[in-house]
Amino acid sequence: MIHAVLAFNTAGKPRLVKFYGRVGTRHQALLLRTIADLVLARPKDACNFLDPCSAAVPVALDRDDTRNGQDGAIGDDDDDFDDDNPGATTSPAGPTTSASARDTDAALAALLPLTAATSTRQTGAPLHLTVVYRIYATLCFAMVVDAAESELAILDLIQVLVEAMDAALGPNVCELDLVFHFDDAHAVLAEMIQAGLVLETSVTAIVANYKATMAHAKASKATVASGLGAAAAAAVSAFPRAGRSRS
Amino acid sequence: MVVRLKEFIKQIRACKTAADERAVVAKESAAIRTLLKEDSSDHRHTNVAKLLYIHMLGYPAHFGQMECVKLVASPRFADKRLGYLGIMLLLDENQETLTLVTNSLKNDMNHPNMYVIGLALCTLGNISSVAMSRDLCPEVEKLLASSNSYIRKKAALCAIRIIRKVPDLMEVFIPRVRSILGERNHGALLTGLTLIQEMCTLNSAVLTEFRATVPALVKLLKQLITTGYSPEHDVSGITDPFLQVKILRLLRQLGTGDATASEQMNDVLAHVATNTDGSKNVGNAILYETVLTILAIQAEPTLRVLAINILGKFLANKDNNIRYVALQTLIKTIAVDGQAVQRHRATVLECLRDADVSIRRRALELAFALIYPQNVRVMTRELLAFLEVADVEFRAPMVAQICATADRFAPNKRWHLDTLIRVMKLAGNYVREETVAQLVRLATNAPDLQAYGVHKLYWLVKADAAQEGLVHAAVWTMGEFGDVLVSGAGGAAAAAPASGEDQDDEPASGLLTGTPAAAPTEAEVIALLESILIGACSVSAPVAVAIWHFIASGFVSPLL
Repeated sequence: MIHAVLAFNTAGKPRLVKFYGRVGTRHQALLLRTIADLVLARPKDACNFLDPCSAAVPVALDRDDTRNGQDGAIGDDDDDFDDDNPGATTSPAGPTTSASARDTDAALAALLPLTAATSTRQTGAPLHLTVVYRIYATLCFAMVVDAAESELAILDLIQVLVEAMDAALGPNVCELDLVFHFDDAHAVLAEMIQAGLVLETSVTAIVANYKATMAHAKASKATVASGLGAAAAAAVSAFPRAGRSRS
Repeated sequence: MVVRLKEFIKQIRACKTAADERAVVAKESAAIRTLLKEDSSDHRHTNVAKLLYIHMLGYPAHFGQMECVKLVASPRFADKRLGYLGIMLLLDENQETLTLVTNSLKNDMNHPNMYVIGLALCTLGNISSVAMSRDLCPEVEKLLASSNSYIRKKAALCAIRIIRKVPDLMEVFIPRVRSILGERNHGALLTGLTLIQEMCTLNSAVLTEFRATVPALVKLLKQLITTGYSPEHDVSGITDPFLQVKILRLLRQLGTGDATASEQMNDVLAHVATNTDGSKNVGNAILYETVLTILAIQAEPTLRVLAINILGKFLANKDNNIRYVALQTLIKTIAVDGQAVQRHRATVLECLRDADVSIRRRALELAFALIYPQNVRVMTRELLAFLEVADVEFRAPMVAQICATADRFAPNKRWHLDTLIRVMKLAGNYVREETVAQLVRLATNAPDLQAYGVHKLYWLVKADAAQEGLVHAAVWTMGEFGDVLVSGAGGAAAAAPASGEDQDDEPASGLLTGTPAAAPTEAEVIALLESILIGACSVSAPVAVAIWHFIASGFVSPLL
């Protein structure tokens, strides 16, 4: 099972964030920043898997609040997302030295089990997680997967995702496209992965499905002027019925 | 005047500092909150889109949950799409707001438009709770039998979520699942197989029942391999590798522990293993899966040898990913066929010095697993050499492992003592209390080694008193066997270069630099202890205690 699909640029800014489990907002941000730090610090010829050293002593997640990072004062008191580690605070992602790289590594080793724990099966046994990533120019795509997925196959899957986005969001998709059309990017992803499981692996099929949904969305927006009730009837009757078989 | 999404994103990107960004986001959040209170449907879409963007950046956006629910109820497809996306991002199964969506989901699953059904299935599959799963199970079951493959595909994955949440409902889906193997559409086939896999994992009775499908799966796999070029499913020259990998994994599950099923798949596994092109990553992914399957089922010996050979080739591959994966598989293989893995020991030891830290980690784990009585000397020597240059993060676990290994497999006491001392010299700061105690115990139980031990420790600490564990052990032994040390008896054995069988335990540099001929005098010993006490400010309590014990034992009273 895939636990998360993340995309960030080479400065560590998030461009696509999708978790397939119950993960609190703070934990999401922290995990993404930790992964970004580690990935961007690796040499180019290193293998594409992040394997945090589980033997290292985990860094205490409730550090002193050095709040010059992302989590500002906006409605923090209202944040009732009860992430699994209430003591977790965010810390700014500064430049990594070798000592702090080790800390980051240990932090990832501590964070990953928490990510898994929220989306385990009925048996309750936490699964060993690894991070598989690929870097394309200024963008890095990472997937957090457990032992049920083959790592090499996930590498290919990331390639499929990127190709699908390229074909769907216009030729030569770049980082800006992901920024300004993040909801479309999510739509492409939804055609490929659902609930952490792979839905479709053929780029042509993914793009075709995505384009069809976009056509619907566009048509439905165009009918807003004529009143919702009539528009709904008109929109629905114009489009393919569910019963028509497509193989 | 509502800010459009594009403008908002531009504003955020124009911020130069994090504080600026926070300010912009705060202002817009407040504006959105006010607009949401007005509860008008005009700009709902834009407001929710902005909220989701804020959420992605890491700021809280939970106050938009109700808006998403309202969006979902709208008849416009664009609204529904954004609403469901928002629900998937902002809500989880524990939130009560989720139950409000149940009715919308139910309606949407009966919608005439297949894409709306798709949206509903997607959302249900991602975050449904136990209650929702129960409520909507009949709808999903109906959709699984739909004539539309797009819907069947999504319904299958949705079913997986349902049976995970409510295992009793599995029986509902079993009849539907039997027809999956006749699927033509690859997408639906892929998800159908995943559903079968999940059922077999959760329920062993179902697993036994599905073993009967092995011949059909084998035929399917054969078809995929032998079929000619198919542009729709081709990836780098291989037809639908994802489906092949999925079938192989399912075969693995069905064949484990069952001789009949394993026999039925022998042929096709050999076929895949020999005919797949390993020059691209896709080919390697399939080979990897095949190897794992062969090693898990009750395969013929020839097939097993084939699998290990493939792993050997992987280890020698230039691509780091392949090597990483090979090392990981070898760790799993040791339990099954330890002998075969031993053949690759040399390569594994080479990987210890690889530039890539992930590979080093795997190699280390594997190296420890490869130790057994016959090769413990050689392996320990290699591992100690590696300890010298290892990253700090490796040292503590390595030290613990080496000591444990030495304990288990030591061929003789002197070797054991030597190894412990060497570990302390190389990484004494990471040595635990128990190890020092172990060394001490060892020395006590082996009277013939006491002289050797105490001399060696004395000279090592004289050369370098930085390692705490070493100092601690040295001081203790000097306290106990100080008379032996001063008298010089047995010291020659330590001073002389190691002879005979222990030769290969000593590295070329030699641990005892400048071995003297004469034994140290009392004065020298005391001078050393003084320097330890005074010089090393970070001397810990146990060491200090040991030194005082030593002095109190009366041995040096005349001189103090």
